[in-house]
Amino acid sequence: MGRIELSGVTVMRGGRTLIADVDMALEPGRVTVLIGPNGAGKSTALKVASGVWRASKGTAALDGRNITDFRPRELAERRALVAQGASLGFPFTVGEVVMLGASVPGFGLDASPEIAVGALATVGLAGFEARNYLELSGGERQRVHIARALCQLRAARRHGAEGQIILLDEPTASLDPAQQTQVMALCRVLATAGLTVVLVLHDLNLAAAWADVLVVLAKGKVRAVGSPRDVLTDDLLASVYDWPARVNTPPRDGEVFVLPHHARDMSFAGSDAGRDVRRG
Amino acid sequence: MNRVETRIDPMALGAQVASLPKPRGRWVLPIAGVALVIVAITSLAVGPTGITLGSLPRALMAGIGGDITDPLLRREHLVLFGIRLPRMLLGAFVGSALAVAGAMMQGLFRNPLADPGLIGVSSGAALAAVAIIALGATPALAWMRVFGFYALPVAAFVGGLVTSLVLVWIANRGGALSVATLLLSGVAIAAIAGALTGLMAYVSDDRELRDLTLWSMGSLAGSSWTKVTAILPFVAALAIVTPSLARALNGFLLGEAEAYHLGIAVERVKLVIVVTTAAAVGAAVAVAGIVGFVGLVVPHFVRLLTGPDHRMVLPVSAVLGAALVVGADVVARIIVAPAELPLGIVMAVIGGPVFLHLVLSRGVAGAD
Repeated sequence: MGRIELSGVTVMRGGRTLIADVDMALEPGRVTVLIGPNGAGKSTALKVASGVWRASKGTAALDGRNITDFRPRELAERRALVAQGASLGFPFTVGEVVMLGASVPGFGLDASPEIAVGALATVGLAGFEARNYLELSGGERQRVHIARALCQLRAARRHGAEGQIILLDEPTASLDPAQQTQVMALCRVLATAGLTVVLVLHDLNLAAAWADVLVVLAKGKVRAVGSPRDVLTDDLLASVYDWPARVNTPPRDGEVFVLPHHARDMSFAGSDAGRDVRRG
Repeated sequence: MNRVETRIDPMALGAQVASLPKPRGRWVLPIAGVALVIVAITSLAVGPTGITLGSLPRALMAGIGGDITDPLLRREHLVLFGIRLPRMLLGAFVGSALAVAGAMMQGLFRNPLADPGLIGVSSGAALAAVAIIALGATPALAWMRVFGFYALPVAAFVGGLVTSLVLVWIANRGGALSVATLLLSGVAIAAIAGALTGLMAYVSDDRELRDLTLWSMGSLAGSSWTKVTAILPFVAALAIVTPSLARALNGFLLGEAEAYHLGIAVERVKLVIVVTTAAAVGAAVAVAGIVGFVGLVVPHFVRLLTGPDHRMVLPVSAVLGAALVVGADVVARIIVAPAELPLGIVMAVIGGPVFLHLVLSRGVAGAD
């Protein structure tokens, strides 16, 4: 339960092909990370997987059933989204924002605020319930939205929902390194608990360290799928990002990490910043 | 390093002690109700014919038991039922409709500056209503007579609806909504509709239309039971539909995609919101002209008291909107007595500074 499969998905919008003939399986119990340069189609693939956009060609199926056949309410019980740069222009308290996650008609979460409180504790924001959302930092807001998604899934689980999916579009973008690690660790724990966890990330090292499955997208097509170790190679990164990078595998723990390479040849060549990056 | 243990079971229920703050502002609704009652009684008592508070119940109850013999009581009874009661009810309905419409538009457009008057919906409704009066006898519009005295509110509803749909189209055009675009488009629409409204007033001989202040500044001066009857079905429909939209509007505040992920049928709900607000604004404009700022001031004030949850904002706005317009009408009637100010001037004096404060404190972007 909780398996999303994209088969031959093409999305065209305003005369442009955003993704073309994409096949992708998002498995429960795994952290799947979509990477690729800007405009590669990562967010588009995520939107098709979550059912908010329809595929122009091909199908997206949740547990074998076409995702467009689900009613919004049914889907809401199965999957939650943490959108990119989610914002809110009104002075809700943090507790109220998290409770919005359970505003699906019929959840009746009002009677069980402990789910919202628990979700905030999970993202490290215990005690933030009465704070004004508009006065939070970017990183705190991001975590509030993750808590909102958790609140949605937990409330649905109380109603018997199974095989749940959480989709996060660049959830670490405004977080500091420690918070990034916390969010990735949370994703790991969610996957261990059986959820299908799907992220879009820009940070290759974060992706390499935490992904079970990496899906590399470029120009609307899937370029590679597999474990970070198998997928991340110098050649692939060079062709996908048009960016000379070196993939390293330190002998100690065997995990790959990526360093920019040939920095001196790039446009910022000669600057101290470039040299520092190269030295790692 | 990457195998950080998180001891909290991520999907555990109720692992923490529940201590979420109580919903804000539960006390606001009863207090708003009391305020409305006080303002309503004041509205009935104030006017050229003084009806003291003591004689108000007597004048109200008179006539139930048959003919009134006391001439003074008879006069008070006539003033009360013929003039003041319909005027008070009309003000209350107009205020409720505009305040609720404002709150819903602000939710739909995700911005507290979206007021039906400011973004041109009221102007579109007024233009349609004026067109019916000016051109109602022409063959093109003669069929509108089938609506009887509902022709005006129905036309205003259609005018408001068309304007709203244009605004939604503008708002959705570039993907992300620019509030500056929305407000400026509203200014343009209001200017065009206002010009056409003025033009129609001059090509028409109709006495009612000559009173341009009704359409441009809003007034309750021509209140009658007919108008109360005309607006009543719209207000009733609003009261029935609105409560079911509160949760969806909360979801909309997060963004349309997020609302969809929360299980809201976005396109259908959006259409219901647009039609409902157009009906509310249309009905209000048809009987009272363009009364600005009610939809801006009331929800803004209510959010300060209750927070932005629409399950509280909508009902409290309905009550306080009624109180504000009835109160403003009292002021309009007494401040230059025996003459009368247009209601819209009183509302602009209250609403202008609030709008300015909102713009300056949030920036036109209005987002964060």
